[in-house]
Amino acid sequence: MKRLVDEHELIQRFIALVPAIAGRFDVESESGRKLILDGVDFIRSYADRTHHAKEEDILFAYFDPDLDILKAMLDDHRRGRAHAKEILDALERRDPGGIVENLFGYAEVLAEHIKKEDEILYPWMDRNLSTRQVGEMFARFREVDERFLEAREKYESFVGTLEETFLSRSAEVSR
Amino acid sequence: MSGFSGCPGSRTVEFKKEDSREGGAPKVPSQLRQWPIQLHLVSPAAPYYQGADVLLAADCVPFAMGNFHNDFLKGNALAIACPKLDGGQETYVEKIRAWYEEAKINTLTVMIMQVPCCRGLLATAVQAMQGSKRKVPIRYVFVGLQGEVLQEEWVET
Repeated sequence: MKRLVDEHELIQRFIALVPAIAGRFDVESESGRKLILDGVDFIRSYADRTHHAKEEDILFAYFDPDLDILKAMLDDHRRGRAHAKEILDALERRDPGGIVENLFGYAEVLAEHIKKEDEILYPWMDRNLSTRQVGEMFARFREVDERFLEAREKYESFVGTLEETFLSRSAEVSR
Repeated sequence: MSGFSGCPGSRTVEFKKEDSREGGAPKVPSQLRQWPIQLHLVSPAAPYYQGADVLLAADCVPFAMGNFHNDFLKGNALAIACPKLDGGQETYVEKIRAWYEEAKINTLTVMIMQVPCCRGLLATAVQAMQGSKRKVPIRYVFVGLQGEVLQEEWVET
């Protein structure tokens, strides 16, 4: 479970950048559009395909799918995916307002979602998994991690670069 | 002040218990599924370790815990050792590593007494993991002198 909490940290670092990115990207320039495309790639490939897939395919499978808290978490995942799709649609229309609205929408859904998982869901699951299940889950998580090792390094570097670019620029503006 | 200044693990303590009535308690069946159990004697290649959830208990633990068999031994493969008194403990590192790499155990639970000298057994399990090509989740359980579970956590490896 600690591994999933660690993965949340990179997603939290990304969503913390949303206010700095919003309104400062240029939808007309190629570099501005690439920034949005890279952001959606992070959301889809790292947050969704790696992290949420681990939850949906491995962790949640140990529990009753009819549990309300699991339904709520899956609904959060769907809302996050819908915002990612809306961001791309808005980019296609060259609609900066739509992009900003959905970037903030995504950040809001994920911030609340991560808080619920870290503080309520994971500790509860931890108490209810048997030692055997923890071992099985650990091995399956490692398989996913090994498959996505290069991708993880790529997305850590991506978020690090965004922080250097946007947070240092924010500091300059506020001076 | 007891005046005792030696190793806490060797301090003399007596626990007063009421004598239980003869024949009053039901017999508890053994949950042991293997032999041998001492870490020097076991082979990591033994079939009962393959893919198993392994329990590595300090020698004193099963005596301290009244319900050791049902609460911890049930369903697990076992080895016991004493990190304070056993000789040749360098082979322990190799055997535990062979559990991780060759027997491909699922998990390792290290149960030790609260006395400081017992921590060596957990340190040995972690040391074996540091040189291992395969990672396995390790859990530790600290047991009090009266058999109570004081702390139970997964180790970050």
